Amino acid sequence: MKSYIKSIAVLTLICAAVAVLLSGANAITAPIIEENEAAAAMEALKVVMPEGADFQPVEIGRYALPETVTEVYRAGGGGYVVTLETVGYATGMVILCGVDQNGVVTGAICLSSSETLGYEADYGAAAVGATAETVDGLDVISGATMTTEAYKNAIKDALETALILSSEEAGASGGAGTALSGAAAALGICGLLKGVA
Amino acid sequence: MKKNGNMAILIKGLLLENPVFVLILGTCPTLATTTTVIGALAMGLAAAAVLICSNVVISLFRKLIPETVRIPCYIVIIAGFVTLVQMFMHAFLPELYDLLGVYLALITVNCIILGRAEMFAGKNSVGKSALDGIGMGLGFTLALLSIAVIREVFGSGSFAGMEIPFLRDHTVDFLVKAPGGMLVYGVMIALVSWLTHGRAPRKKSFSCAGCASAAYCSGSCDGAGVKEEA
Repeated sequence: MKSYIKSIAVLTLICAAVAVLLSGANAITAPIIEENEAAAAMEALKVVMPEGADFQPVEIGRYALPETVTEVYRAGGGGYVVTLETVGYATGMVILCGVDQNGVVTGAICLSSSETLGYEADYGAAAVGATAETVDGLDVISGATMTTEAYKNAIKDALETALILSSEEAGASGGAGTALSGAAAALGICGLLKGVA
Repeated sequence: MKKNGNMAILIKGLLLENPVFVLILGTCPTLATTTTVIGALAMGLAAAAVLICSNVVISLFRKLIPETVRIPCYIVIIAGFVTLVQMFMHAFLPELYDLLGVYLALITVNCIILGRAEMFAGKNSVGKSALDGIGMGLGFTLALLSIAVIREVFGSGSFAGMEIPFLRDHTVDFLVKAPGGMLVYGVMIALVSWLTHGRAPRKKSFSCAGCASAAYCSGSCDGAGVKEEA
Protein backbone atom coordinates (compact mmCIF):
# COMPACT_ATOMS: atom_id res chain seq x y z
CA MET A 1 0.00 0.00 0.00
CA LYS A 2 2.82 2.34 0.96
CA SER A 3 4.58 1.76 -2.36
CA TYR A 4 1.38 2.59 -4.25
CA ILE A 5 1.09 5.91 -2.41
CA LYS A 6 4.74 6.71 -3.10
CA SER A 7 4.32 5.90 -6.81
CA ILE A 8 1.23 8.09 -7.11
CA ALA A 9 2.86 10.94 -5.17
CA VAL A 10 6.07 10.90 -7.25
CA LEU A 11 4.22 10.79 -10.57
CA THR A 12 1.87 13.58 -9.42
CA LEU A 13 4.78 15.74 -8.29
CA ILE A 14 6.63 15.26 -11.58
CA CYS A 15 3.47 16.14 -13.55
CA ALA A 16 2.95 19.26 -11.41
CA ALA A 17 6.58 20.38 -11.80
CA VAL A 18 6.42 19.90 -15.60
CA ALA A 19 3.11 21.80 -15.74
CA VAL A 20 4.59 24.75 -13.80
CA LEU A 21 7.66 24.78 -16.08
CA LEU A 22 5.50 24.71 -19.22
CA SER A 23 3.18 27.46 -17.97
CA GLY A 24 6.24 29.67 -17.39
CA ALA A 25 7.54 28.92 -20.90
CA ASN A 26 4.09 29.56 -22.34
CA ALA A 27 3.94 32.98 -20.62
CA ILE A 28 7.21 33.89 -22.35
CA THR A 29 6.53 32.45 -25.80
CA ALA A 30 2.75 32.93 -26.31
CA PRO A 31 2.88 36.71 -27.00
CA ILE A 32 5.78 36.23 -29.44
CA ILE A 33 3.97 33.40 -31.24
CA GLU A 34 0.83 35.56 -31.47
CA GLU A 35 2.83 38.44 -32.97
CA ASN A 36 4.51 36.10 -35.47
CA GLU A 37 1.18 34.61 -36.53
CA ALA A 38 -0.39 38.06 -36.98
CA ALA A 39 2.59 39.11 -39.12
CA ALA A 40 2.35 35.89 -41.16
CA ALA A 41 -1.40 36.48 -41.67
CA MET A 42 -0.68 40.01 -42.93
CA GLU A 43 1.99 38.61 -45.29
CA ALA A 44 -0.58 36.20 -46.71
CA LEU A 45 -3.02 39.08 -47.24
CA LYS A 46 -0.33 40.96 -49.17
CA VAL A 47 0.23 37.90 -51.39
CA VAL A 48 -3.36 37.97 -52.69
CA MET A 49 -3.59 41.77 -52.76
CA PRO A 50 -0.07 43.10 -53.38
CA GLU A 51 -1.19 46.71 -53.55
CA GLY A 52 -3.33 46.51 -50.42
CA ALA A 53 -2.32 47.98 -47.08
CA ASP A 54 -3.72 48.63 -43.63
CA PHE A 55 -5.97 45.57 -43.62
CA GLN A 56 -8.76 45.68 -41.05
CA PRO A 57 -10.97 42.71 -40.07
CA VAL A 58 -14.66 42.96 -40.97
CA GLU A 59 -17.32 41.73 -38.55
CA ILE A 60 -18.90 39.18 -40.87
CA GLY A 61 -21.77 38.22 -38.55
CA ARG A 62 -23.59 41.43 -39.48
CA TYR A 63 -23.99 40.43 -43.14
CA ALA A 64 -25.68 37.63 -45.06
CA LEU A 65 -22.50 36.29 -46.66
CA PRO A 66 -21.98 32.92 -48.39
CA GLU A 67 -21.53 30.02 -45.96
CA THR A 68 -17.98 29.35 -47.08
CA VAL A 69 -16.75 32.75 -45.87
CA THR A 70 -14.91 32.53 -42.55
CA GLU A 71 -13.00 35.85 -42.40
CA VAL A 72 -12.93 39.11 -44.33
CA TYR A 73 -10.35 41.92 -44.25
CA ARG A 74 -10.96 45.36 -45.72
CA ALA A 75 -7.96 46.94 -47.46
CA GLY A 76 -7.24 50.58 -46.68
CA GLY A 77 -7.26 51.60 -50.34
CA GLY A 78 -10.48 49.67 -51.12
CA GLY A 79 -11.20 46.03 -51.84
CA TYR A 80 -11.43 42.97 -49.64
CA VAL A 81 -9.49 39.83 -48.84
CA VAL A 82 -11.80 36.91 -48.11
CA THR A 83 -10.91 33.65 -46.36
CA LEU A 84 -13.10 30.76 -47.47
CA GLU A 85 -13.32 27.19 -46.26
CA THR A 86 -14.85 24.85 -48.77
CA VAL A 87 -15.18 21.16 -49.58
CA GLY A 88 -13.64 19.69 -52.72
CA TYR A 89 -12.86 15.99 -52.87
CA ALA A 90 -12.07 16.28 -49.17
CA THR A 91 -13.06 18.71 -46.46
CA GLY A 92 -10.97 21.59 -45.22
CA MET A 93 -9.85 23.35 -48.41
CA VAL A 94 -9.01 26.86 -47.18
CA ILE A 95 -8.67 29.58 -49.84
CA LEU A 96 -7.62 33.21 -49.47
CA CYS A 97 -8.92 35.46 -52.26
CA GLY A 98 -8.36 39.19 -52.84
CA VAL A 99 -10.96 41.31 -54.71
CA ASP A 100 -10.22 44.96 -55.51
CA GLN A 101 -12.66 47.89 -55.45
CA ASN A 102 -13.58 47.21 -59.10
CA GLY A 103 -14.65 43.65 -58.40
CA VAL A 104 -11.59 42.06 -59.98
CA VAL A 105 -9.71 39.15 -58.36
CA THR A 106 -6.19 40.34 -57.43
CA GLY A 107 -4.93 36.96 -56.27
CA ALA A 108 -5.87 33.68 -54.64
CA ILE A 109 -3.92 31.08 -52.71
CA CYS A 110 -4.82 27.76 -51.15
CA LEU A 111 -3.73 27.88 -47.49
CA SER A 112 -4.46 24.24 -46.75
CA SER A 113 -6.17 21.29 -48.37
CA SER A 114 -6.38 17.51 -48.33
CA GLU A 115 -7.08 17.10 -52.05
CA THR A 116 -5.46 14.10 -53.67
CA LEU A 117 -3.21 15.68 -56.28
CA GLY A 118 -2.20 18.98 -54.75
CA TYR A 119 -2.66 20.96 -57.97
CA GLU A 120 -4.94 23.41 -56.11
CA ALA A 121 -1.79 25.22 -54.97
CA ASP A 122 -1.43 26.52 -58.55
CA TYR A 123 -5.05 27.45 -59.29
CA GLY A 124 -4.73 30.93 -57.76
CA ALA A 125 -2.69 32.27 -60.69
CA ALA A 126 -5.50 31.30 -63.08
CA ALA A 127 -8.04 33.31 -61.09
CA VAL A 128 -6.14 36.62 -61.21
CA GLY A 129 -8.11 39.19 -63.21
CA ALA A 130 -11.37 37.24 -63.04
CA THR A 131 -14.65 39.06 -62.42
CA ALA A 132 -18.16 37.87 -61.59
CA GLU A 133 -18.87 37.79 -65.34
CA THR A 134 -15.71 35.96 -66.46
CA VAL A 135 -15.11 33.50 -63.61
CA ASP A 136 -17.08 30.76 -65.37
CA GLY A 137 -14.83 30.92 -68.42
CA LEU A 138 -11.51 30.12 -66.74
CA ASP A 139 -9.82 27.07 -68.28
CA VAL A 140 -7.69 25.85 -65.36
CA ILE A 141 -10.47 25.97 -62.78
CA SER A 142 -13.19 24.86 -65.15
CA GLY A 143 -15.22 22.99 -62.54
CA ALA A 144 -14.74 19.64 -64.29
CA THR A 145 -13.52 17.98 -61.08
CA MET A 146 -14.72 18.22 -57.52
CA THR A 147 -11.62 20.24 -56.57
CA THR A 148 -11.83 22.76 -59.42
CA GLU A 149 -15.59 23.13 -58.93
CA ALA A 150 -15.10 23.89 -55.24
CA TYR A 151 -12.27 26.30 -56.06
CA LYS A 152 -14.32 28.12 -58.69
CA ASN A 153 -17.32 28.37 -56.36
CA ALA A 154 -15.06 29.75 -53.63
CA ILE A 155 -13.82 32.47 -56.00
CA LYS A 156 -17.45 33.25 -56.87
CA ASP A 157 -18.28 33.47 -53.16
CA ALA A 158 -15.36 35.85 -52.62
CA LEU A 159 -16.59 38.08 -55.48
CA GLU A 160 -20.14 37.99 -54.10
CA THR A 161 -18.85 38.84 -50.60
CA ALA A 162 -16.95 41.84 -51.95
CA LEU A 163 -20.09 43.02 -53.78
CA ILE A 164 -22.28 42.67 -50.71
CA LEU A 165 -19.86 44.44 -48.38
CA SER A 166 -19.08 47.21 -50.84
CA SER A 167 -22.78 47.87 -51.43
CA GLU A 168 -23.53 47.85 -47.70
CA GLU A 169 -20.71 50.28 -46.94
CA ALA A 170 -21.75 52.60 -49.75
CA GLY A 171 -25.32 52.54 -48.42
CA ALA A 172 -24.18 53.23 -44.87
CA SER A 173 -22.05 56.20 -45.93
CA GLY A 174 -24.70 57.55 -48.33
CA GLY A 175 -21.98 58.14 -50.91
CA ALA A 176 -21.79 57.36 -54.58
CA GLY A 177 -19.83 54.19 -53.80
CA THR A 178 -17.35 52.32 -55.92
CA ALA A 179 -17.70 50.42 -59.11
CA LEU A 180 -18.30 47.36 -56.95
CA SER A 181 -21.34 48.85 -55.18
CA GLY A 182 -22.75 50.03 -58.50
CA ALA A 183 -22.46 46.53 -59.84
CA ALA A 184 -24.05 45.17 -56.70
CA ALA A 185 -27.03 47.44 -57.12
CA ALA A 186 -27.39 46.44 -60.74
CA LEU A 187 -27.31 42.76 -59.82
CA GLY A 188 -29.85 43.22 -57.06
CA ILE A 189 -27.50 41.83 -54.47
CA CYS A 190 -28.60 44.47 -51.98
CA GLY A 191 -31.71 42.38 -51.50
CA LEU A 192 -29.54 39.74 -49.85
CA LEU A 193 -28.43 42.10 -47.16
CA LYS A 194 -29.73 41.86 -43.67
CA GLY A 195 -31.40 44.96 -42.41
CA VAL A 196 -28.61 46.85 -40.77
CA ALA A 197 -29.26 50.28 -39.34
CA MET B 1 40.35 3.52 -23.72
CA LYS B 2 38.35 2.33 -20.68
CA LYS B 3 35.05 0.79 -21.73
CA ASN B 4 33.08 2.86 -19.22
CA GLY B 5 35.34 5.92 -19.28
CA ASN B 6 33.87 9.34 -19.97
CA MET B 7 35.43 9.57 -23.44
CA ALA B 8 34.14 6.10 -24.38
CA ILE B 9 30.62 7.08 -23.27
CA LEU B 10 30.82 10.29 -25.28
CA ILE B 11 32.03 8.84 -28.57
CA LYS B 12 30.24 5.49 -28.65
CA GLY B 13 27.12 7.16 -30.03
CA LEU B 14 28.98 8.57 -33.00
CA LEU B 15 29.75 5.27 -34.71
CA LEU B 16 30.04 2.04 -32.71
CA GLU B 17 26.63 2.46 -31.03
CA ASN B 18 25.18 5.01 -33.39
CA PRO B 19 21.44 5.11 -32.58
CA VAL B 20 20.37 5.28 -36.23
CA PHE B 21 22.88 3.10 -38.08
CA VAL B 22 23.69 0.50 -35.43
CA LEU B 23 20.83 0.44 -32.90
CA ILE B 24 18.28 1.11 -35.72
CA LEU B 25 16.22 3.45 -33.55
CA GLY B 26 14.35 6.61 -34.62
CA THR B 27 13.72 5.31 -38.13
CA CYS B 28 10.50 7.33 -38.66
CA PRO B 29 12.02 10.83 -38.19
CA THR B 30 15.14 9.64 -39.99
CA LEU B 31 13.22 8.89 -43.17
CA ALA B 32 10.78 11.80 -42.84
CA THR B 33 13.09 14.72 -42.12
CA THR B 34 16.11 13.90 -44.27
CA THR B 35 14.81 15.31 -47.56
CA THR B 36 16.56 18.59 -46.72
CA VAL B 37 19.80 19.31 -44.87
CA ILE B 38 18.22 22.14 -42.87
CA GLY B 39 15.32 19.94 -41.76
CA ALA B 40 17.68 17.12 -40.75
CA LEU B 41 19.94 19.47 -38.80
CA ALA B 42 16.98 21.05 -37.00
CA MET B 43 15.48 17.67 -36.12
CA GLY B 44 18.86 16.33 -34.95
CA LEU B 45 19.59 19.30 -32.72
CA ALA B 46 16.05 19.40 -31.30
CA ALA B 47 16.19 15.68 -30.46
CA ALA B 48 19.71 16.08 -29.02
CA ALA B 49 18.58 18.94 -26.75
CA VAL B 50 15.67 16.84 -25.46
CA LEU B 51 17.93 13.80 -25.05
CA ILE B 52 20.56 15.66 -23.02
CA CYS B 53 18.03 17.43 -20.78
CA SER B 54 15.88 14.34 -20.18
CA ASN B 55 18.96 12.17 -19.48
CA VAL B 56 20.20 14.67 -16.87
CA VAL B 57 16.83 15.05 -15.11
CA ILE B 58 16.05 11.32 -15.15
CA SER B 59 19.48 10.53 -13.80
CA LEU B 60 19.09 13.21 -11.12
CA PHE B 61 15.81 11.70 -9.85
CA ARG B 62 16.59 8.03 -10.58
CA LYS B 63 16.68 7.10 -6.88
CA LEU B 64 13.38 8.85 -6.16
CA ILE B 65 11.39 7.42 -9.07
CA PRO B 66 9.72 4.10 -8.08
CA GLU B 67 10.39 1.17 -10.40
CA THR B 68 6.68 0.59 -11.07
CA VAL B 69 5.99 4.07 -12.47
CA ARG B 70 9.36 4.79 -14.06
CA ILE B 71 8.09 4.65 -17.67
CA PRO B 72 5.21 7.14 -17.10
CA CYS B 73 7.62 9.40 -15.20
CA TYR B 74 10.18 9.24 -18.03
CA ILE B 75 7.48 9.98 -20.62
CA VAL B 76 6.18 12.99 -18.68
CA ILE B 77 9.72 14.40 -18.33
CA ILE B 78 10.54 13.79 -22.01
CA ALA B 79 7.18 15.21 -23.16
CA GLY B 80 7.79 18.28 -21.01
CA PHE B 81 11.14 18.97 -22.66
CA VAL B 82 9.73 18.32 -26.14
CA THR B 83 6.92 20.82 -25.47
CA LEU B 84 9.50 23.36 -24.25
CA VAL B 85 11.53 22.92 -27.45
CA GLN B 86 8.31 23.22 -29.49
CA MET B 87 7.27 26.45 -27.75
CA PHE B 88 10.65 28.14 -28.12
CA MET B 89 11.08 26.97 -31.71
CA HIS B 90 7.56 28.18 -32.57
CA ALA B 91 8.37 31.58 -31.06
CA PHE B 92 11.93 32.14 -32.25
CA LEU B 93 12.40 29.81 -35.25
CA PRO B 94 8.92 29.67 -36.83
CA GLU B 95 10.19 28.57 -40.26
CA LEU B 96 11.96 25.54 -38.78
CA TYR B 97 8.88 24.84 -36.65
CA ASP B 98 6.74 24.72 -39.79
CA LEU B 99 9.35 22.64 -41.62
CA LEU B 100 9.47 19.91 -38.96
CA GLY B 101 5.70 19.87 -38.48
CA VAL B 102 4.33 16.92 -36.55
CA TYR B 103 7.74 15.22 -36.31
CA LEU B 104 8.82 17.76 -33.68
CA ALA B 105 6.05 16.65 -31.30
CA LEU B 106 6.80 13.02 -32.14
CA ILE B 107 10.25 13.34 -30.51
CA THR B 108 8.30 12.47 -27.34
CA VAL B 109 7.91 8.89 -28.53
CA ASN B 110 11.32 8.68 -30.22
CA CYS B 111 12.78 5.30 -29.25
CA ILE B 112 16.28 6.75 -28.88
CA ILE B 113 15.28 9.08 -26.06
CA LEU B 114 13.17 6.60 -24.09
CA GLY B 115 15.76 3.89 -24.81
CA ARG B 116 18.64 5.94 -23.37
CA ALA B 117 16.51 6.93 -20.36
CA GLU B 118 15.71 3.29 -19.65
CA MET B 119 19.07 1.73 -20.48
CA PHE B 120 21.49 4.44 -19.31
CA ALA B 121 20.19 7.52 -17.48
CA GLY B 122 18.10 5.46 -15.05
CA LYS B 123 21.23 3.62 -13.86
CA ASN B 124 24.13 6.07 -14.14
CA SER B 125 25.35 9.32 -12.64
CA VAL B 126 24.25 12.73 -13.89
CA GLY B 127 27.63 13.48 -15.52
CA LYS B 128 27.79 10.19 -17.41
CA SER B 129 24.13 10.52 -18.46
CA ALA B 130 24.82 14.00 -19.83
CA LEU B 131 27.81 12.65 -21.79
CA ASP B 132 25.67 9.79 -23.11
CA GLY B 133 23.01 12.31 -24.16
CA ILE B 134 25.58 14.48 -25.94
CA GLY B 135 27.18 11.50 -27.70
CA MET B 136 23.90 9.89 -28.77
CA GLY B 137 22.43 13.28 -29.74
CA LEU B 138 25.45 14.09 -31.89
CA GLY B 139 25.36 10.59 -33.38
CA PHE B 140 21.68 11.03 -34.27
CA THR B 141 22.32 14.48 -35.77
CA LEU B 142 25.30 13.29 -37.82
CA ALA B 143 23.35 10.27 -39.07
CA LEU B 144 20.45 12.44 -40.21
CA LEU B 145 22.85 14.91 -41.81
CA SER B 146 24.74 12.24 -43.74
CA ILE B 147 21.50 10.83 -45.19
CA ALA B 148 20.10 14.32 -45.88
CA VAL B 149 23.23 15.46 -47.75
CA ILE B 150 22.94 12.52 -50.16
CA ARG B 151 19.17 12.92 -50.62
CA GLU B 152 19.17 16.70 -51.09
CA VAL B 153 22.31 16.99 -53.23
CA PHE B 154 21.40 14.18 -55.64
CA GLY B 155 17.61 14.24 -55.23
CA SER B 156 16.98 17.99 -55.38
CA GLY B 157 20.27 19.28 -56.82
CA SER B 158 20.82 21.64 -53.92
CA PHE B 159 22.60 21.88 -50.57
CA ALA B 160 20.80 23.57 -47.67
CA GLY B 161 18.54 25.24 -50.21
CA MET B 162 21.39 26.54 -52.42
CA GLU B 163 21.19 25.15 -55.93
CA ILE B 164 24.22 23.27 -57.26
CA PRO B 165 25.10 23.86 -60.94
CA PHE B 166 24.75 20.77 -63.18
CA LEU B 167 23.18 18.66 -60.41
CA ARG B 168 20.09 20.89 -60.29
CA ASP B 169 19.37 19.86 -63.90
CA HIS B 170 20.16 16.18 -63.33
CA THR B 171 18.26 15.24 -60.18
CA VAL B 172 17.39 11.71 -59.11
CA ASP B 173 13.83 12.42 -57.94
CA PHE B 174 13.51 8.93 -56.45
CA LEU B 175 15.90 9.89 -53.64
CA VAL B 176 13.57 12.47 -52.10
CA LYS B 177 10.68 9.98 -52.02
CA ALA B 178 10.21 7.53 -49.14
CA PRO B 179 11.66 4.47 -50.99
CA GLY B 180 14.75 6.52 -51.91
CA GLY B 181 15.20 7.44 -48.26
CA MET B 182 14.97 3.78 -47.27
CA LEU B 183 17.55 2.85 -49.92
CA VAL B 184 20.04 5.48 -48.72
CA TYR B 185 19.39 4.44 -45.12
CA GLY B 186 20.15 0.80 -45.94
CA VAL B 187 23.34 1.68 -47.81
CA MET B 188 24.52 3.80 -44.88
CA ILE B 189 23.86 0.94 -42.42
CA ALA B 190 25.95 -1.37 -44.63
CA LEU B 191 28.70 1.26 -44.85
CA VAL B 192 28.86 1.71 -41.07
CA SER B 193 28.94 -2.06 -40.59
CA TRP B 194 31.81 -2.30 -43.07
CA LEU B 195 33.68 0.61 -41.45
CA THR B 196 33.44 -0.87 -37.97
CA HIS B 197 34.53 -4.34 -39.19
CA GLY B 198 31.79 -5.96 -37.14
CA ARG B 199 32.97 -4.31 -33.91
CA ALA B 200 29.58 -2.61 -33.54
CA PRO B 201 27.41 -4.43 -30.99
CA ARG B 202 25.23 -7.10 -32.49
CA LYS B 203 21.81 -8.05 -31.30
CA LYS B 204 23.17 -10.67 -28.89
CA SER B 205 25.34 -8.04 -27.22
CA PHE B 206 22.25 -6.39 -25.77
CA SER B 207 21.13 -8.15 -22.66
CA CYS B 208 17.48 -8.38 -21.73
CA ALA B 209 18.42 -6.98 -18.32
CA GLY B 210 17.07 -3.47 -18.14
CA CYS B 211 15.16 -3.67 -21.41
CA ALA B 212 11.66 -2.17 -21.17
CA SER B 213 10.29 -4.74 -23.61
CA ALA B 214 11.86 -7.84 -22.05
CA ALA B 215 8.60 -8.94 -20.43
CA TYR B 216 6.76 -8.89 -23.75
CA CYS B 217 9.30 -10.42 -26.17
CA SER B 218 10.06 -13.54 -24.15
CA GLY B 219 13.74 -12.72 -23.86
CA SER B 220 14.61 -13.05 -27.53
CA CYS B 221 17.85 -11.06 -27.10
CA ASP B 222 19.12 -13.64 -24.61
CA GLY B 223 18.08 -16.41 -26.96
CA ALA B 224 15.42 -17.70 -24.56
CA GLY B 225 12.33 -16.80 -26.53
CA VAL B 226 11.89 -16.12 -30.22
CA LYS B 227 14.77 -17.65 -32.17
CA GLU B 228 16.93 -15.42 -34.27
CA GLU B 229 16.96 -16.18 -37.95
CA ALA B 230 20.10 -17.79 -39.21
